[in-house]
Order: sequence, then C-alpha cells, then structure tokens
Amino acid sequence: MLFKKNTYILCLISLFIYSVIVLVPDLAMAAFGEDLEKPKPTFQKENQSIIAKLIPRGKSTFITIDFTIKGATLQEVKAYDFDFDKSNEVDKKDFRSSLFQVTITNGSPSNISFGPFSLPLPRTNAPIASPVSVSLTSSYFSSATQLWIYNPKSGTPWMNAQAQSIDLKPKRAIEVSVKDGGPMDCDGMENGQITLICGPKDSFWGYAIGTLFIRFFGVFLVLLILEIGMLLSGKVFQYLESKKSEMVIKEKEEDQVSSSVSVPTSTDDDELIAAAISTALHVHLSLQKIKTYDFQGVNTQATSSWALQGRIKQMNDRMILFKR
Amino acid sequence: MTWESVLELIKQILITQTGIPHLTWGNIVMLCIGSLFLYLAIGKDFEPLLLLPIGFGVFLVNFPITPLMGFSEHGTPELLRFFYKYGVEWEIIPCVIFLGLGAMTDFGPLIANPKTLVIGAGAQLGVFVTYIGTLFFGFTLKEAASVGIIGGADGPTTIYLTTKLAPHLLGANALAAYSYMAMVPLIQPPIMRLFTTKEQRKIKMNQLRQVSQREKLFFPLIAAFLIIMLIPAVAPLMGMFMFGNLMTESGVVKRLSDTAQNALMNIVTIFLGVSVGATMKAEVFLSWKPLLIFGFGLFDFVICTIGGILTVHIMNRFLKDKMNPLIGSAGVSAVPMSARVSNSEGLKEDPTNYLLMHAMGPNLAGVIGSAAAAGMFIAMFQ
Repeated sequence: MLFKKNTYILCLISLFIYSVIVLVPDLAMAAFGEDLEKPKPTFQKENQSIIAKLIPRGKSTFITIDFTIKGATLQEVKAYDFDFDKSNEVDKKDFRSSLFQVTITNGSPSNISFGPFSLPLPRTNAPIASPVSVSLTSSYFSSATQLWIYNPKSGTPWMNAQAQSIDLKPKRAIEVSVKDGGPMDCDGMENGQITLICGPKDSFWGYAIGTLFIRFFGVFLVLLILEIGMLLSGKVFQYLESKKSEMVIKEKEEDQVSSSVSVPTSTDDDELIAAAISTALHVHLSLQKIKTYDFQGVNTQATSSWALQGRIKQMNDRMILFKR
Repeated sequence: MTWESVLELIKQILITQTGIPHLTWGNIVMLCIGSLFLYLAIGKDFEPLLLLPIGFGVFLVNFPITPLMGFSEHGTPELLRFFYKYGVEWEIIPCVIFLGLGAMTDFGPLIANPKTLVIGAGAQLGVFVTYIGTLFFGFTLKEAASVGIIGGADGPTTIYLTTKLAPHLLGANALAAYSYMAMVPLIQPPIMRLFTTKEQRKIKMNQLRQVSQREKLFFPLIAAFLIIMLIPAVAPLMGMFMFGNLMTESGVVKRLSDTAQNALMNIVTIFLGVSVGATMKAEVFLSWKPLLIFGFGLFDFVICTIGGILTVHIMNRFLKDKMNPLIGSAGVSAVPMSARVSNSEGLKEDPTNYLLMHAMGPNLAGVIGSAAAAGMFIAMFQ
C-alpha cells in the first residue's frame, strides 16, 4: 500500500515537472538569460600580430587566437559586443570564441616621435590599394571552422567569408581577403581603413551531437578494455592459483610420504613403549580368552584406561603404515 | 539620553543587527525547503546521512545577514564558505569520499564476471541523452554535462563534475542525485518490469567463480592503470577509489582502511552535506533551473535504467550462458541499493533466484562507468 502511495506521489511530481517543461518552455528558457559563458578576450601586441587570449564557450582552459595581416597595417583588434538574443540569423553558441573588431589601416604614420615626445599626425585617407589578407591562427580551430563577417550596413549583415583553412600543425589558420570599401568592410568606404567585424564559427549542434557519440562510445571502449584486461589477468591468476593448489596438493602428498617414511626414524623409546604396550595388551587379552568372565570376583571384560591408551597409541603408529 | 535617542538606538539595532527586517519571501521558502529535507531525512529515512546535513545547511544559510557563506572584512572565508572553499571548491571532499568507498568495496563479483562491465557502460546512456536534452532547453555545454551525470547515480561524481564545470548548479545537482538515489526502489521496478518478460526475469545465472585474494589485490592496480591511462582526467577520483580498495585488500593497513571506511568518511560527509546545503541560498536556488534539473534528473535515471537493461538484452544475443536482464538496472551505480532492487525483483518471480551477487558486478561497473563518463566530460572541456 505504501509502495503504491509513493509511486503515485512520484508520478505526480514527474507529471508536474514535465508539464512545466512542456507547457511553459518560454518561462523555463527565461531562466537562462544570463550569459555565463560569454568570452572575455584580452589582447596583446606581439611583433606584427595581435594575440587574443580567451576562454571560449564550452571550455575551461584558455586559448589564443593570433591575428596577422598581409598588405597593410594591423591597427587594433578588440572584442565586439553583439546582442545575439535579438538576432534570429545567428546563434551565439555557434560563435564559441567571441566576435572581434579588426581595424586595418594603410600604414601611414599616425604620429612622429622626437625622443620622449611624440607629435600626432593626421592619417592619410589614401585607399588601401590591393586586397589585404587577414589571418586568424589558433590550435582551437578545426577544418570545419568558418569565418563569418558581420556588416550592419549590408543588406545581409551576416555572411560566410569563405575563408581558406590552412593546416599549420598543430595550429590551423583561417585566411580571408578583404578589400577597402568592399562588402566586408564595415565603414563601406575606400578611406585607407578597413573595419572588419568577424568571428570564427563552428556548428554547435554538430559539435555537441558528435562529441556525444564519441564520448558515449568512449565510455564503452574504456570499460571494454578494462574487461579485456580483467579477463586476461583473471586467466593468469586462475592459472597461477591452479598451479598453486597443485603445488599444495603435491606438498601434502609429499608430507604424507615423508611422515610415513619417518616412522622408522622414530626414537628407540617410542618403539620400546609401543612394544611394551602391545605385549601387555597381548598378555591381557590372552588372559581374557583363557579365563572366564569372572576371575576371582573381578570382571575382566572391562578394559582398563591404560590398556585403551596403549591400544590407541599402537593403532596410530600402525595407521601411518596403512596410509602408505 | 532622551527617550527618542533610546528608541532611535533600538530601531538602529533592529534594522542593522537583527535578521528580521532583511527576511525575504525567498528566505522563507528556502527555510521551508530546508525543513522538508530534514523531515525526509529524519521522518522518512531518505538518505539521512546526506539529506540531514544538506537540509540543515539550507536551513542555516537562508537566515538573512548571517556570517556563514561570505568573506570577512579581512577577506577570510566565513565558516561554511571555508568548508565549501577548501572541501568542495578545491575538489577534495568528493575524492576523499571515493577513498572511503574504495575501502568499503569488494570487487569480487565484478572480477568474477568482468562481462558486467559492459552493462555499467550501457547504463550511462541517460547521461548522454540528458546532456543533449538539456542543451535544447538553453543550458550551456558545461551545465548540460553536469546535469547529465546525475543519471550516473553517483553522488560524489556528480559533485566533483558539477564543481568543476557548473558550480552554480551544485546544490540542485547534488540534491537531485541523492534524492533519486534514495528513490531507486520506487523508480526502477516499474521500468524493469516494462522492459523484461516474465521468462527473462526467471533466468538463473551460473554460480560466480571464486576470486582469490591475490586477484583482488591486483585488481585496483590493473584497473587504475588502464582507466587512468585512457582517461587521465578521472585520475583524482579513480586514483583515490583504487587506493582505498588496495588498502583494504592488502590487509596490511587495517587501521588506515578502517579509518577511511568509517571515521574519515563520516567527517567528510558532514562537511560535504553542510557545504552543499549552504550553496542553496534563496537568490541562487529559487529559479526554474533547479526545477528543470529535478525533471531532467528523473528522466536521466529512467534512461540509464533502460540503457542497462537493453545492454543485457543485446549481450544475451551473443552469450551462451544468458544473463538475467534484471541485473542491467544495477548498472546505474547507486551501490548497493540498485543491486538489492534487482535481487528483490528476481525473487518476486522466482523465490529461489538470488541475483544479489550477480547484480553487484554491474553495480560496481556503474561506479567505474559514471566516473569514466565524468572523465570524458572533463576532458571535453579542457
């Protein structure tokens, strides 16, 4: 009865939980407004490149993305804050390593230095003549990683840059060609500056489901290997145990043999005692056979304790020989 | 001193130094939830060793302006924060619990029938299905993994993984894991009956072979070597588990083994329970997430049970000596409760069919399987 009652309560709880999940998914989803995994990159300039260091979505460790430019000057790289929740076109989960705003200039000096002093110079607006090659290099990228460009001024703000993926073992680079004033340039003008808003994109669901299968079968594989290991070690141990038990049996047999052989090695005293006892017994039993049960008022049928002990001793001594 | 200033002083004390004006509805709800856990532990005997300290932790931490889970003005952690920081956040307590569990465990049934390891792997099905399910509901990858592991029915593993991946879900995940572990006798039997026929439930399994002491002694070394070589991320848990077992099986450190099984285990259980309860402050816990976690946890448990039973069905297609599919449900870990459930269900069909020792194999395999799944998840995010 109690069991049935508990099952009933359990069913009610599950029904309530699932009705909440199914009927009010929007409410449930509202609980997840806070973006806990939002990458917060930091940037560091190194020679001609800028390195972004960040913890991407779905990772616990830092990765680095190396930005390099060919054909112009890499002015600045910074994180670009895009409100993914308001966009139906893209999913923030696909952009696991943030969005970046890359500023490329024509390389004209922006200031002139005199020792400790520097004099700012106006940058020239001469357009960047040839297409500039922008390269993002990281060990985090896979062959399926794409580079997506965001241009709010364009009719289709999000576009796949069709970047070339280059394997630089152990890292991988994704490289794209951009043109001053081209469709990927956010300012849309040939003004000697290219502003590129981009982000490496991987399929979140592809990764999640792919890794699900790999890891589930990984658990099987690990336990299968353990099973094989245990079966093999089990066989070895069983073999060793059988050998051991064989040895024990052998040893026992040898012990028995050696103990039976050891009879003749018994001391002279033992032999004397055994002989004395057997003689006494012989005399005693002979007397019993000859004489009547009642001999001068004494019942000779009853065996005395010394006679019994002697008989046991004699039998035990002979037993060894029988076993042999 | 005038009456006004005395009243002012009393008002000041009431506002700043007592909890009454700071009490919120959230606090009251959480105090009720804490009391409910205490009732379940004391009145209903539901996992009292864990639910009592957790319940009291919830109860204690939800009083307003208490110096328990914060930091002092010198930056030192307050009492429960101290337990949490050095016990849970530093991932020490779950590993110490594994040490005690290892010392308590007799791997004999698993060593005698290593085939049951596959059942332990099959019973992790729910972990991965729930992982995908939670992603659909907007959980992050790390949160999904930490919720998924609830189905492994292994409290310390759940706590270990959640602390590593989604510490903000620790309270809900730990509670869901321990609650469902306590409810194994309620959750599993209907599923077991649904996925097996009467004839299958009557299958009698061969007597397990005798396992020598030498084999038991070498098992922790062999298992630790293979598992840690394949999943290094699980080394803290598996290392401690096998170390505890080695202490017991070696027989030369009886005092240490006894301490790991009893005194040490009891001490860390107190700190673990109170620390987990202390993470459940109203402002963190009162959202849809814990409710969803409880829902997914139940779903997870059900799928894991089904996974274990189906694995036995699949294995039986290839095995000469058939296994009773009822032992499949024991693959969800929850040692030894789920093995007992397998045994009792078997006895219901045939009062002479004792499955307990046969079910202990998949049960122990479930512990290794859930730790392996946790290791897989940890490695995934590295």
